[in-house]
Amino acid sequence: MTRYYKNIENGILTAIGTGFGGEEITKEEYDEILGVIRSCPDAEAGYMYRLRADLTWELTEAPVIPQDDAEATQEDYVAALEELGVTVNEED
Amino acid sequence: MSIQSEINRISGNVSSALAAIAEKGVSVPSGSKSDALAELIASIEAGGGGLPEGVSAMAYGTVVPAADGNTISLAHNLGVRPDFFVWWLDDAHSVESGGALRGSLTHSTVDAETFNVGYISVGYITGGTFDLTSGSVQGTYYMNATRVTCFCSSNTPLKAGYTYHWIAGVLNNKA
Repeated sequence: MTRYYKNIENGILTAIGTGFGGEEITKEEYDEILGVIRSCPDAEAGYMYRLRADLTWELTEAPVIPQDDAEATQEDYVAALEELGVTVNEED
Repeated sequence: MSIQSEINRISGNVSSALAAIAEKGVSVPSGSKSDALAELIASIEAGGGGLPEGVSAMAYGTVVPAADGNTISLAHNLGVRPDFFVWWLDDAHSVESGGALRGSLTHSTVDAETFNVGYISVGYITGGTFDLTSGSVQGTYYMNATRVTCFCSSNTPLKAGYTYHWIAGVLNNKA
């Protein structure tokens, strides 16, 4: 039995999937969201669309990401994880 | 409760048991009756969970990002940090991108026991060649007992609307 889920963070639908995690949804809702994601309008350079939980698109500035990933530190990863709502437990 | 209704109930239970045995991969001859149950159950491979030898637990899932992005976090229910992580694009997008996306992260590539980050390069398989120079996705991964989180390189984001499949697993022998 396939389990379908959606991830919503701060009112933004970030992903859908199958398996463990997220908020369980029906296959019908999964298919509906997938159709919306795959029909995302094109955004101008420097901007991107984010999908709200109500399945409407929100135009926003694209985040500026450092080009040299080699300079990313452990603190950068921890900060990014915390933004995702993941608690970092170094004993895991 | 008539005798006939009891016969029907037992007959239904036997049919359900035979169907469950078939789902375990056993070939159930047409017309099998309750007499065959013991022999058919005995032929189910030990372990029953379908895990390969040496693997004590595995989790599988898919994820479809809603927007292009460099970070994605996948939940698993293993309860311990995975020893390996593998992921790939589905066939539909493999065709679109000119090849399949595949990559793996293993225990040996995790660089610290306390902060479980490993580096992984995920390449498109094009014509049998593992191509890291064109269209590859590279990133750093954080794995713990509940999640695998991917930080992709800025020039190789995860693509919105693509279905990424993944498997995380735990080994019996970690030596």
